[in-house]
Amino acid sequence: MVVETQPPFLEMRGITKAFGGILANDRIDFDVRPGEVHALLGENGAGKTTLMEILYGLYTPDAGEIYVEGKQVQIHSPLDAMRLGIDMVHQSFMLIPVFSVCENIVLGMAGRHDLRQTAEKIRELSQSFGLEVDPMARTGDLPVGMQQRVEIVRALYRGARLLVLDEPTAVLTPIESASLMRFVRSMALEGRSVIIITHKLEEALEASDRVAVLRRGRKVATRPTRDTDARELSRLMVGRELESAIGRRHDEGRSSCLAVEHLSVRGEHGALACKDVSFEVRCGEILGVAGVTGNGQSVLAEAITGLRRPADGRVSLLEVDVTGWRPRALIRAGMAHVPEDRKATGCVGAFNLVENLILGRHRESSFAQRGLILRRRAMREFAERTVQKFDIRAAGLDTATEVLSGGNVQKLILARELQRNPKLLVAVEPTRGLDVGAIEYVHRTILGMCDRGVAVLLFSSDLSEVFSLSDRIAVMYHGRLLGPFPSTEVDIEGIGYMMTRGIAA
Amino acid sequence: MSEIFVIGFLTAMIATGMPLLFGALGEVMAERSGVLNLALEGSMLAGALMSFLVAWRTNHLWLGLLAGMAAGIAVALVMAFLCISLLTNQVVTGTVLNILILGATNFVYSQVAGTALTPPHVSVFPNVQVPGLSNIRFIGPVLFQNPLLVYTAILLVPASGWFLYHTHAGLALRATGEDPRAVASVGMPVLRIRYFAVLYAGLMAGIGGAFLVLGQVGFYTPNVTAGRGFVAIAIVVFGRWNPYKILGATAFFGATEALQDRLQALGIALPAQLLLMLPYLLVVVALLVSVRGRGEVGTPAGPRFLTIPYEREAL
Repeated sequence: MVVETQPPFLEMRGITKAFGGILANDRIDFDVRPGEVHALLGENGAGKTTLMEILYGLYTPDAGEIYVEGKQVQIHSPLDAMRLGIDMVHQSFMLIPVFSVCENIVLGMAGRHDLRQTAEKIRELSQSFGLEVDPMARTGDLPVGMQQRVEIVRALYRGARLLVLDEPTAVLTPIESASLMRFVRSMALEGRSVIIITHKLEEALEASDRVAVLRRGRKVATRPTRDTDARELSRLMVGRELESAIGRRHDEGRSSCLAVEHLSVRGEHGALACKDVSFEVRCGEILGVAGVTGNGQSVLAEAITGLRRPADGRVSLLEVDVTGWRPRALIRAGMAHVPEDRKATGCVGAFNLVENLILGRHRESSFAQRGLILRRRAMREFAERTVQKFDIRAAGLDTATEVLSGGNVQKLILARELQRNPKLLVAVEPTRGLDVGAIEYVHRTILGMCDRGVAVLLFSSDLSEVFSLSDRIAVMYHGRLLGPFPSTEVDIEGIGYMMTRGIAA
Repeated sequence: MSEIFVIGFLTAMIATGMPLLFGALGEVMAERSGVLNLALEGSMLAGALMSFLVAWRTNHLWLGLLAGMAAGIAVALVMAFLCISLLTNQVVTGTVLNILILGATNFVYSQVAGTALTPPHVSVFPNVQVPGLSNIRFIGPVLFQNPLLVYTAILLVPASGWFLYHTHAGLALRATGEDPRAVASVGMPVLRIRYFAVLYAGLMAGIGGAFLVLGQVGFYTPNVTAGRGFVAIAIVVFGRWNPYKILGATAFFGATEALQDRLQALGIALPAQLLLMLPYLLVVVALLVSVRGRGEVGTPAGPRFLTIPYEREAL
């Protein structure tokens, strides 16, 4: 337990940083004690990562001071931070996939390293923290959870006394998350400190000694974790009360919308990434597909949405065989798609809102004369209405989509897909990386479509999302589909077990 | 086949291979850092002209070589500044620079030597015999009776391999081409690493160009490199960004070039132009074969961040 009178290991005072006129950090005071786990909670864009990247020397603050163990320090580069014992595990890993674990760990460290000795040291170090990794493995071949371990072991190897973890559980299974939290506690017991950047309330409550909440670049509060609860934190974070859990009425016995029979699809390297998968989604139903990232969900979604040609099997939409159809034909047949990578696949980043909102419908007569010449005024009016209806927040219609926040990009994509009045929605990780407010919005939109009789196929690695939305739940494991099971007959632990073992518990 | 023929063939192979080997050993470092240094051709051509002019005027071959190195670096510096500091497109920048250098070298050469009735020429680097080894049958005359630069190039192969795979700087260089963000996140200077790599490529291309004139023929003709810089770049791909495989790829190309010469000399009933195409055709075929399969670099097309500029505060 943390002695509360201890002087802080780290203190940041009055940190201010602006990007192009927008204050990402506005006079933030923040401190961390030795042996403390401190959660840094806030919606996306609240300035959590910016604050930590200033601490890690990736950005220079416009104003403010940093003290480590009472002494004022200047941190100009990650090297300075590391010298002070501060290290960071980024949300997107900073690892070279073609390097061995060992090479990744010694990268950037001064002095000569005998790789065999280093490997031995890494093995010992990782075992003592319960984070076993094979130092000789090729990093890119390791599953995501393992890669995160490599990042953490690297920080320990460099002698980190304060470790910043940026959204560490976003890529982990429930079991991996639990083991990460055990590690975090053991690190704190050694007198080292951990900062966990997160937008998940449960995570902040579960793992930390104190929680600092940021909202729109300002720190709104710091609370000892035992004196607060989810309700208070979510109010601090969003600035208003959120609607409580969304009710879901179950409804069965409607006609089939999407039917997938014995579908096999080849993945990136030519091997079957999706093997003999069969299921059906009925109108007005949500089928949730859970699974650890990389178990064939993406490939399956691509095959259904026409982005990838299946090797074998059949896909039918409203009783019509659409196997191997191109996306444009599928869209016409009533399919809507919210893709996994919203910025890369979901929209064209350099296009403005108007262009992205009509993308895919640009040949329709309402937007183009004879399918050739764009009707710019009609496009704008349509965009204005849509932006208002879906509450997309942007500086203007001419704003490039790439500068919007993740939540607003997702609203834009949903808006575009919904305006087509689809019969089937295929949504892949629709809320990954979004903050609670945006998640609530996306969930309500999906449920609203479902109420209008749209069939929804939801792929998500977030189990609580799968459970709160789905009528039936299936699990992808090594390319095979387990289930679907009615959501009333399974629980989170059971599905979590299937996600990692491939069999029912 | 007679011994003379074989020795002649092998010697020609080494002679044509040398400028390519220098160029490729330089280019591999630039590409490992993530910069596709297409200006290699320009560096080589500028190196050839400047080394020749200085050697001719001062009558000093080594001074000429130094001038060639400087010219190669100068071209690379322009390339590096535009692509690394100003984030311009590497392919476009390299292409434009090459065209510029072709024009500039033609102009300078015509101004300096264009009016002479007989083109100026210099003596070439003398062969240095390795005592004891130069008399071995076949191998001796081929491998151990060469100018110093040839031995240098051969020794540079293991040296480059050792640098890339056994030193810290080599690890950092390879990491920079695979993911510069990861390199920056551990506190290393991405831009400086890329600058060094591109300037080194320019230096090596300059030596390659100098060898072309001062090591072989002793006189300069406009566009003397005739695309050898590009061939060196192709050799880097064919050699899968690995110095040892690059040596093999260079030998393969040198052999086809030498074979093409011999075939012409033997009076094979094929148009000379077709035979001249042969080495390049084989390189295209070799490239087609070599791009399959995953190696030690991130993608089949090379290091994962090859040709992608790195912007600092844009993480």
